[in-house]
Amino acid sequence: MPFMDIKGLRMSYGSNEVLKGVDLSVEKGQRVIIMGPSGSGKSTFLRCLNHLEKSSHGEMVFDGRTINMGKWTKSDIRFVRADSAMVFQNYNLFAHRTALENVMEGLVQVKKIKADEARKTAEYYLDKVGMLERNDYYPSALSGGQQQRAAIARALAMNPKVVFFDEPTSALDPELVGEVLNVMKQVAEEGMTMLVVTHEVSFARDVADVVVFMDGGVVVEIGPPEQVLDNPQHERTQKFLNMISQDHGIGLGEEGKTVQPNAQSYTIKAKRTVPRK
Amino acid sequence: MDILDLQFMIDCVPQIFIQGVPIALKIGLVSFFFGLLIGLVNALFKIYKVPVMSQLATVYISFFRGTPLMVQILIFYYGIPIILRAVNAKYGTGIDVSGVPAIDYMYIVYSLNIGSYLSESTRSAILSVPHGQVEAGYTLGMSTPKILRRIIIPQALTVALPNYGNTFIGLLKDTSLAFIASVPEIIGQAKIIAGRTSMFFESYIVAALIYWLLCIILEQVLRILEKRARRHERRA
Ligand SMILES: Nc1ncnc2c1ncn2[C@@H]1O[C@H](COP(=O)(O)OP(=O)(O)O)[C@@H](O)[C@H]1O
Ligand SMILES: [Mg+2]
Repeated sequence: MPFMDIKGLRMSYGSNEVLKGVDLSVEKGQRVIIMGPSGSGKSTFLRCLNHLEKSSHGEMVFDGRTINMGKWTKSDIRFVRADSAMVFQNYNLFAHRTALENVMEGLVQVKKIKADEARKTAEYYLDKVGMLERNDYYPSALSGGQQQRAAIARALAMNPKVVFFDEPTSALDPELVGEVLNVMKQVAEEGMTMLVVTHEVSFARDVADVVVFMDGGVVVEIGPPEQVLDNPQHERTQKFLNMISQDHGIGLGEEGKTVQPNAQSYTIKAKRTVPRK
Repeated sequence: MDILDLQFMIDCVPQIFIQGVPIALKIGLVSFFFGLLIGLVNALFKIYKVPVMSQLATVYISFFRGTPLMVQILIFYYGIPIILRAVNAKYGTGIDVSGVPAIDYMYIVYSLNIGSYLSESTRSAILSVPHGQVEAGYTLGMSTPKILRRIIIPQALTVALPNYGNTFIGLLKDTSLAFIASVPEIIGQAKIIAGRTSMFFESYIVAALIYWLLCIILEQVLRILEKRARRHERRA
């Protein structure tokens, strides 16, 4: 049985239907990359999964529990949020807390872990994302890349079963994209189930098990990266991929090439470095 | 003849200061505390658009901001006893109306008055906290009250602090109106001395200087508090 199985997800902002019946099934440990033009409903899709937005119809199996997405109960919401985490485009760190306190917050307040133990856990995850030496900095004193890495540490520290990433590198200066993608790749290597909205094609090629192309509130194309990225069947997918490859000034991830300028330190390997799920 | 009798002024400082200032501070602090609670509750009613309550909040805020404090004091000072007597008559409750000290009425009217001002500043301060942080709290599994307490209110307080400080300073000066309900605060004391000695000018100047001193001290305290509260905004 898949870890997540979403069927017929619909969502409207007022009379504007933004998701028009989305199906997606995610296995444990799978990395799903979601692409698509701006406004196609990618963020809304992720945000419906943890009830940050209210969907109108749909059914989701999440870790064995069946949820009516048209009528979430409080305990459904608690269940999903307890085992999922989210990384946002704008980091959304708590501005009045240091990096360390940001990571500790959920541990102490939600998981009820004692402060000194929570501190150790928080330090472990900040170390993992290369942020340990800045753990007492406030977000305002951190670069975008550092803030996003701290936000990833905050998400991972909760020990989630799945992490949703909504364009985690889109707000970053180009030279900071690589450091965040590297951390995400490491998370992927450790077997985390991930749903990632991103336009970083080389990253997708490297870690994705499944690439989903969305447009107009529906899934247009879905499949392994070499199919969707290299041999897209739908004209809309082709057009979109051409467009972003032009925008980024890159070929779609040729071997040995360091992707410029959008992912400086993120070099494409001859072979996938992250084993296929 | 001198315009001001300096020795007299020095002599009346102790009475005005020792007897008047504690009363002024008591009215100010108690009303500010309850005003903050009223302000927070109203702000939440309005932000979460709680039916009925948010409309009531709007009317309440509009009334207390739209009428003079002096009038509010008079209404409460003369009105509450009338209402209490009516309650006594109707329900046989034995409330000792004449035994209620005047300052208790002042706590009520000043709390309501200041609460109406703090409602708006609290509301805008809460709305200034980026919603993304609230969402981050939700995805961590935090409940709405916990997010309010841990994420929103601490940051909103920082934003509102200058506003709160100015409101408190204004409130402290406005406690001077309590003399019309015979509360012997700073102005009340000055009036007593002036009535006894006919040294009106001197008494009121001493009162003014005391208010001025209090405000200067408060402004300094406020500056320190603001600096501390904003430490997370400083770039390291
Ligand atoms: N808060 C909102 N209120 C109304 N419409 C919204 C809101 N957020 C997004 N939308 C609309 O929903 C559609 C999908 O948005 P979104 O999921 O953010 O797309 P994407 O993440 O793919 O760029 C867009 O047409 C957008 O204008
Ligand atoms: Mg989006």
